[in-house]
Amino acid sequence: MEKAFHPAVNTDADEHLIAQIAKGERSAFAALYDRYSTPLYSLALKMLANEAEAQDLLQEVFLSVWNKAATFRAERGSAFSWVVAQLRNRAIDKIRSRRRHGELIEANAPDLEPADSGTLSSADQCEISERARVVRSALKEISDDQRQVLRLAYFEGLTQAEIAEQLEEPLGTIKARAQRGMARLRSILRALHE
Amino acid sequence: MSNPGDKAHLEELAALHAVDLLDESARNKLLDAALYDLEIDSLVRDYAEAATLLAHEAPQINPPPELRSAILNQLPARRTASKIISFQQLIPYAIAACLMALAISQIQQITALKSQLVTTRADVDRLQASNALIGMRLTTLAARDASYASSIILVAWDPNRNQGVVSPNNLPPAPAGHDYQLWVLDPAAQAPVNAGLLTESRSFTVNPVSTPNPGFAVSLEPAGGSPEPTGSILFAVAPGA
Repeated sequence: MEKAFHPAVNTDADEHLIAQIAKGERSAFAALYDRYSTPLYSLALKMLANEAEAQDLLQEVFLSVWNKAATFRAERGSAFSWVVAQLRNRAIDKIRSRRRHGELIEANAPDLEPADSGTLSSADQCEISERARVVRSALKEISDDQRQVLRLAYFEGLTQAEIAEQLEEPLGTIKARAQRGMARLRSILRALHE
Repeated sequence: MSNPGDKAHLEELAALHAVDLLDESARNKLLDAALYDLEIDSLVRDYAEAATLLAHEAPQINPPPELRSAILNQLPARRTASKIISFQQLIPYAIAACLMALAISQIQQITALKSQLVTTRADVDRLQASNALIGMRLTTLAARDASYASSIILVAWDPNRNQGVVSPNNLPPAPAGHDYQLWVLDPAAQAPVNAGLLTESRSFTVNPVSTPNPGFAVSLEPAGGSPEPTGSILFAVAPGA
């Protein structure tokens, strides 16, 4: 089976770290934290728009990585996707819980400014940031309307019907934009792989 | 994926699934199809990986430096409290379960075939040579329902004999009027192959399957079982996985 690949991270190095974490190696855990903490914290902050909750979530996810490292299977996906999925699922649960309780916080967080690259703490973070920059540049190839639908689904956990209502577009239009956007993302991933 | 129309539809579902835009029914349809078809399974994983690219759209912000040490200080000294059991940790138990089930199977065979001494001798010779375990594949079935996350279903499969041993661990009793049922997933078969009810560790045999690495699934069925799955798939591992 073809090994999973993710362009924003060094897949082989990360798999090795997860394997070491599964054996209880704290140094490997620290190394993985250094590699992933910025993109994961950024995603948590983007989704939750609340620093304290984003920090709590980052903590939950890294402790989960420590406890579940032995269940990671590289042939099922990259280590980065595995960790991002854990964070995103938990973030969406929190967002939906807020909605259920009518406590939806305004998404315009004042502190969502890009990090100064001079503050990055290690060579690993620099490598991750550079790779992420390449990915972000490639993502600009997706049309704005497709990107808008994907953002609402990915970062806010909205359903098709909720997106249709928010954008005042028919459900079929939303579905088609999401499918085309994802197809484009998949081709971008392949191009980055080559 | 023989039908191009089906392929296009499943690809659309895989794309929407990657960003959680499918309702439960469509999601189950896609994931059930992925169980039987490696190509669909690969498609689902491809799209999931592609969706992860979206994570990089978030402006890059460093967490507070003190969070690193706070998290590192919380790591348990030993991970014995973890509810997650690694596959490697299960291997000794799996082998013990296999050996026990195989031993039961041998006794039953010898009793039933006493009159066929020649056949029995060949069988005993073969088992005495411990060849029964050669080529045996051990696999765990992943829980697809969060309420079964602490349960583990282990299957040891001998492709040379189309025989397996299934061992449920920490599986709650089936709800009243229902039984758990085991299925063998053969990519060449039209439907999952019935491997019987799942109540305790036991061996099972099915007709020859097309691959040495079939998939397995466990569903919740009406009491007594069904000729084909009608209830929710609770545990599964895809063919070739």
